[in-house]
Amino acid sequence: MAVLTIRDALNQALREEIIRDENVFIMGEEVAEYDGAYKVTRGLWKEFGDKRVVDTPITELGFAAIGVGAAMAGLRPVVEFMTWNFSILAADQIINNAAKMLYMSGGQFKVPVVFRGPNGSAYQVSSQHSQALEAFYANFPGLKVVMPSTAADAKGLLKSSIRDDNPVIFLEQERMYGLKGEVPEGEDFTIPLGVADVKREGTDCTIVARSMTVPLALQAADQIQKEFDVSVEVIDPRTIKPLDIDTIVNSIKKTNRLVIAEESHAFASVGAEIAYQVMDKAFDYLDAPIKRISTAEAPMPYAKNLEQLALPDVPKIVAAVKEVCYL
Amino acid sequence: MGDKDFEEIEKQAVEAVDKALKFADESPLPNEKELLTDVYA
Repeated sequence: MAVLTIRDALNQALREEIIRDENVFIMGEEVAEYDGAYKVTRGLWKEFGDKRVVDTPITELGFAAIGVGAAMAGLRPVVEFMTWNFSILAADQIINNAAKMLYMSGGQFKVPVVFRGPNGSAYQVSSQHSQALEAFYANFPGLKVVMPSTAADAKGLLKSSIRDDNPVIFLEQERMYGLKGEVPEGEDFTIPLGVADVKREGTDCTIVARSMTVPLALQAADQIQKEFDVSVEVIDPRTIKPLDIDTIVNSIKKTNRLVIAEESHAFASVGAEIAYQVMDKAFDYLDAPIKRISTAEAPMPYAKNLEQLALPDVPKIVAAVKEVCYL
Repeated sequence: MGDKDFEEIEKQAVEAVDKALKFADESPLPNEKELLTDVYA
């Protein structure tokens, strides 16, 4: 298998889907001639031209609307937001049109559009450019929400998202574009939406992590194994909506303890939803209260030390696991 | 386009809305199981 960065795995997925389906096209700010702000679309405009890779003006609401309309007319647009922070400007199209058109038309209009781009924090890009918006979008029926954490997942999930007949919110992470991993080749490689992945098997405690917190959780699990001989299982839902709660519950039935690590703020987060569903389906299996590691309840600071303090990290996850394991 | 063209478009729009309204008024309320239908394709 080839070893690719997440950036190149996404690029490979886009390239394969453009070749596979003539209805697929990419649009967004600087996605064509500049190869994308984060180079995810590198080389695609040169290879496929203006009709398949389209530069847009700086008008998120406008090009999101074109994406929704194109999807209703039978195309499969992939709309890139330079960051998901800018999607807030396009939220009316995503939430009021993309998410609801199938329902409001009595099933007449599918909207097979993918909105994608980097979500969450980067490195000192401060309050307005560091937001993790998965809980916001996951709250609206009609949208699917996807968050890959490895190169293989990024490729397989993006291909499935493009082929899906629903609007998909595809949340990448800017800090992770350079992470490398083995990636299966070939256009047949896809990963179904709604299926979690056990990233590390364990018996004593479950960590549910997503996106940026997956590699942190894996580091924490290794450290805990070494220092305390405690075996930690790490589960990555990969798709936030639909959520594969069964894989999480089955893990808790084995480990009886749960830590949730997430980059978003804690209040009304995806972690809060997972904690509720675990309480609903596996309350009697829990031997300790669920612990959650999230970003501090404040806009992201610019100062490097405060940014580090605000975000989840390995020591915070280790401390949470120790707490639920009574170490 | 002239005034007559605009008048014709308006006439057609009013007719379409009137027809849709009549259809809605004469239709039964939806079955309760339709609450969760067509949320996802």
